[in-house]
Amino acid sequence: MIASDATNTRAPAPAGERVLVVEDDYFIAQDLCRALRGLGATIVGPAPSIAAARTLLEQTVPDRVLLDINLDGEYAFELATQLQQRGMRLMFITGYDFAFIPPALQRVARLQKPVDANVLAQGLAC
Amino acid sequence: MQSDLPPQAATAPSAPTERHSFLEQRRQVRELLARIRAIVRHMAAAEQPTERFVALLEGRLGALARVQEILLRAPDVLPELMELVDAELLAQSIPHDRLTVGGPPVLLSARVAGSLALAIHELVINAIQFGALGGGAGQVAVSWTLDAARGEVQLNWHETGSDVGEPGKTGFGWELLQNTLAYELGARTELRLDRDGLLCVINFRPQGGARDRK
Repeated sequence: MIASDATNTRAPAPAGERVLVVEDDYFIAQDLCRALRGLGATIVGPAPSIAAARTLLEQTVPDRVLLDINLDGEYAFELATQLQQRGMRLMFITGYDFAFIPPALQRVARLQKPVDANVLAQGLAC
Repeated sequence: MQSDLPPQAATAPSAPTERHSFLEQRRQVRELLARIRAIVRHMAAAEQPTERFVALLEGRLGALARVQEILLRAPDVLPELMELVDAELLAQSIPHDRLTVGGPPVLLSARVAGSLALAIHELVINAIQFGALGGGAGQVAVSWTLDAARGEVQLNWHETGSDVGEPGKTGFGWELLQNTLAYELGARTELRLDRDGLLCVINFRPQGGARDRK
């Protein structure tokens, strides 16, 4: 969280972060990436599947991961648990109700679809 | 609340309960609305909203609505490729004498149907505006073959008998055929002019999706 630019102002997250986007809908993924770039983040991916996300995670360590929960029928809970154990910052972006998330993952930040770009900015800033 | 909770296992869904399918339906509606919003923003990022923009958007929403109707007609009945193609051609009132449509029965997963319906819509609209289904006397042949060994379908969209220009490699339709299908289905799409006209070849797994792609 140390500002690296010369003005020495601290930019709010996710500025300067590498953010992995895991989302199986092309248009939603593009929309999230556009919003994140607008907030100063660098995109890793986007990944349309858990397998693609794992491949990217082997190659690079992002600062944050935005995870859709249902990827073409495959749940992201196992990946989320592993990333949480590694201390990575996570956020679910999902169409599911809160009740759908297992208790162990209910403290993960979460935004419900459809997500507005302003809401995304607020959600990531805290 | 505990008993209402969905699969704790991280991998596959458990046997669907009434509560689970209720939560799943709520998710699907939110996902669809999120997809529509993202499509609108995607289009607005590329061009200023105009009358043409609205017409194109209405057409795309129509395609999304038609495939939803097919998907929601009965639980556990998968859509056929034939009815998807028919629905998109019928929606634009394409005369029968300008079409040949045929191929073996192919059942599609909901995800594949959702992506493919948009792609077929773009091909139909492009053919009406710039290709063989415009004012001239052109023809479109839609055919497909199933490679059972590879579990792949090859869908051919072939336009003939009109002065078709080189396909524009920009715009929403091009992006959808190339990028969206590759991202969502792991499909391979080729779009080119042969000596008769525009040829679009889409190779995809009819029940698969991006999760099949490493």
